[in-house]
Amino acid sequence: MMLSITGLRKKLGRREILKGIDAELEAGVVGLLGANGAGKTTIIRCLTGIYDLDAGTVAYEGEDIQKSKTYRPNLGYLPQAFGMFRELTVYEMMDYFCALKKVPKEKRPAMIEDCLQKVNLEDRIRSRVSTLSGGMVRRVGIAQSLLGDARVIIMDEPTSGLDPQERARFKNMVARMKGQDKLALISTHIVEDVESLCDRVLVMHEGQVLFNGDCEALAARAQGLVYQVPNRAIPQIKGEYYEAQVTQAGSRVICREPQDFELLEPSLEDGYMAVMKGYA
Amino acid sequence: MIARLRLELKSQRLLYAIPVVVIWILVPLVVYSNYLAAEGDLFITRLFAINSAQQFIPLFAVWWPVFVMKEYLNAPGNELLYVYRFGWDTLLSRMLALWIWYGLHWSVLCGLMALFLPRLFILYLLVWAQCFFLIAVAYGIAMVSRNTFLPLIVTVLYCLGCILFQLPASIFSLEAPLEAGAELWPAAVMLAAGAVFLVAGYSLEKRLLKDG
Repeated sequence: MMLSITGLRKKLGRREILKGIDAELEAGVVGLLGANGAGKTTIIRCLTGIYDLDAGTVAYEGEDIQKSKTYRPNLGYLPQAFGMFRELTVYEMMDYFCALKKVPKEKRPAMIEDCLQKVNLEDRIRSRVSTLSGGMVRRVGIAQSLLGDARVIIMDEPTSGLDPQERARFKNMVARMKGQDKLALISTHIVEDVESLCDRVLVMHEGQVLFNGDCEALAARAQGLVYQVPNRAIPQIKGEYYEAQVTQAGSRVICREPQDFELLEPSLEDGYMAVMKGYA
Repeated sequence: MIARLRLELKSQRLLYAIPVVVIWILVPLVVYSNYLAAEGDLFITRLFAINSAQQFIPLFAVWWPVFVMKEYLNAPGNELLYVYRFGWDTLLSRMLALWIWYGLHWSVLCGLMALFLPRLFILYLLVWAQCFFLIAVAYGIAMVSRNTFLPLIVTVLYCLGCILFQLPASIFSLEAPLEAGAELWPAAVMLAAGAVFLVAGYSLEKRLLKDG
């Protein structure tokens, strides 16, 4: 087990943000899915050691991360916002993070070049970061998280600001991580990203984990709950429901109770909403 | 840490040059122009040199530290800098390193002035102590307020206040010849007070981001 989270609790000010999180994370790509304010960034900051825990433990290969000497050298992290030292060149910034992670000097040039190639920025290596677009700066952030051949890579909203071509490139890069002995934890509120990237998913809501399993199992949670309802028939729906998608032809509706409408095969987003709404 | 500090200073680009311009161009220009105005009188020139050094050198001592702290406290994604902190790789050690680096500039300038003007050693010690105090105060205020604009303002107001109103908190006394035998206890007080600010600031730095 690469990362073990046991009874994790965290307050910020007087508000309890994490209310007892338990999860076992193996090598692979894991999605951390939840709405804004669910506690995703807070749990990430606990996993990276930025925050002290109020209760519980986080262990890397069985050892508490606060005591482990191997965790931080093997950790790559992309925060939700990224953009310090913007007057350095891309190479200098990557060199800075190599020094931060104590990458040996002789390995740095090749490693920097390799990481920048993965995000298609090798031709901007001498450009100042302040001259790059927001999406390019984000890609520099992704590249620095890969430095040091990290085994645990934690990314908070990594596709934020990326254009469709770069999102596809990012997805390909993550896909190549599968099968390697690495854990990539990707926090996002975009279900589509989880669907295309992740083997497993943790769904968070108000500081608790509502679901922990693979994507197929999450979608299956909405089995028998998703209906195609003609728009004029919406008032006839029995009980609580959520309109997932409205078109002129009709609405895709997730219902708490059985209905007399056409049943649909649930998607991952349907499963997510069913779990979030408490229908499943 | 030094390699990273070098890059942190490099990222300041032209802003890095401001204290350098003050030490190597502004202060020598002021002293030289006063030398010409005094028609070569070294006693009067020495007094102007003492005043100029007291007014300008400590004022800009906090410049580099403030801009380094700005990245750690306010830059987007600054939390990344705290994930990998080890041992002596702290803001405190950066403050001390920048005090020494700034002090080296002052040392060379003072040494060059001493080739022409007599008895500058007391001034040398007082200015270095004042720089230490102001950097320590800036660090302490930044750790409390998580703001780097406030330390800059406090430094400017302090220096201006001391210069204009000869406040007792200042170790400076304008127009004083600072002869051998001049009291050095103000410097000792400044160093001790600075140490208190550094210790207090470091206790807050260790908790930075830990509790949100």
